[in-house]
Amino acid sequence: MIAHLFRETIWYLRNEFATTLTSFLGLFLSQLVFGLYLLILLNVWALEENLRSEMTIEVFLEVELSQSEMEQVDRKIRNLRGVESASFHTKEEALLSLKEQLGHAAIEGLGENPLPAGYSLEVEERFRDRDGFEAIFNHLTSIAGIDEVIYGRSLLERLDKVKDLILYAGIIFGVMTFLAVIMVVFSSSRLLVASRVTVIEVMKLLGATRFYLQSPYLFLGFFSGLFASGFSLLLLHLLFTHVARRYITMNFLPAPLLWSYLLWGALIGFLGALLSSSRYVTHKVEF
Amino acid sequence: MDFLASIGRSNLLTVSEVTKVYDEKWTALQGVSFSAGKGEFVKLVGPSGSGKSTLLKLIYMEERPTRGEIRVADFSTEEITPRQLPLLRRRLGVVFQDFRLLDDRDVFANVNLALQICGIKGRRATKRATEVLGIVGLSAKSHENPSGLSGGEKQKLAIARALANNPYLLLADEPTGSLDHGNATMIIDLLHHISQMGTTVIVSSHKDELLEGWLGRLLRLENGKLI
Repeated sequence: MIAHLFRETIWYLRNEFATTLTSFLGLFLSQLVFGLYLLILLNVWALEENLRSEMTIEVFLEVELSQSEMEQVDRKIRNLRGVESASFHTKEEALLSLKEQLGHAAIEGLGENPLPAGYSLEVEERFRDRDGFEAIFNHLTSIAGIDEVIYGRSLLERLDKVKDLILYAGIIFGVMTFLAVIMVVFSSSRLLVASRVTVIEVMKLLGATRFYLQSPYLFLGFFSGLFASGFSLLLLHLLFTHVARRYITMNFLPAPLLWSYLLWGALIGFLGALLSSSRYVTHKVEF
Repeated sequence: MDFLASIGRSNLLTVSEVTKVYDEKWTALQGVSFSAGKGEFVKLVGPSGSGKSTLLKLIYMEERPTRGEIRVADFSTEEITPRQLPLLRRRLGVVFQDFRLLDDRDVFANVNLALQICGIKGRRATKRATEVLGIVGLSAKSHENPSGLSGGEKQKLAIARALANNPYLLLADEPTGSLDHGNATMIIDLLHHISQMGTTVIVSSHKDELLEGWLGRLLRLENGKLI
């Protein structure tokens, strides 16, 4: 059986090289596009995740709070669900921070410090989405003693939209690419099978099972897909190394995704071969 | 107990009231009935278009009869499924006028293919392939390409391939159609010898006189009917 597989594969590589290459190139290009999309998607998600993790909620307290009121507010804030840490800053620390941001000259004419005391809150990871931030915001605004709460709501909304756009555009584009590459592999594989139709018919007469007849095509389809994925991954890595080194910081595909990527290419090759060869290798007893 | 040893003379092949109609218009066979037992040599004669090839196609179940039934060993045209077809074909040998050899491999590999398909490999396959090539007289040509053989040698190779898996039944559809008289006689003689070895052989020809010299049952088809 193994000898039969290798024999047929070598025959195709020798005698139908152009057709085999067409199928391989179709798989290679589609996997390259898919890999680029994955790289972009993963890095946009990583960037978005970084922005979210650095986002804080700024809480400004009312000016005239007694010590006990401040302690009460502090307890409520620190115990609030979703708040990972709360960093308190006094009026003076707030002024100092403003000086550092805007420069001494900008606040020279202020006179009395108008800035309130407050908190910078870091949010727990599982709350770092639009709904999580909004929930914490709503709780904070209901606490007596808190004057104002600010966080990057509009930035979060924009990030969500960009993420959704990339995801949905990718799905649509991915489906179209998948269908296109299946058609290419199907057509190429159909040509390959047709070139051996005489051999197939003789083997049927000799009692070859469907599996025996079809396995060389499935073998060729699977490994074409696998090698096409491998080569596209190599090219992607070269591009990535060049871009990441020179222009921006990026992450390459993680190991589990790499294996899935390779298997996906192999699966497409296998599927195309399966669909195209079935008609020729099926035994029929016609009426 | 070996299957062939367990069946009686009339049980290997049974053709019962078989009719074959194409496109609801043309009747190729009408009410054909006969049976064949182990080791019989059956001569199927009739003019071109009388239904000989159609009958043989129904026996190796490339097509089903429109009416009636054919039983070959445990297989019936009424019950066989596509999945069972390879199992039947492994117990049959079929030889054609146009040889149907594979030019991408040598003589030995052509015979070996039939064995490989049945899962017979290694020394056992080599031994059997060598044996059948010896039976047909092609041992010296084992490593030649079929395209380099004469017509008679090509048909011998086709017979060797058909014989490789020790078939119950060997069907030869006009095996001498492409051959001169000398080679044709040689092929018929070989097929007759195979039947004497225990394989049931059905050989068809439109030349009655070609099959006269060999002892065996004669079936004459005319216009799709056995007369």
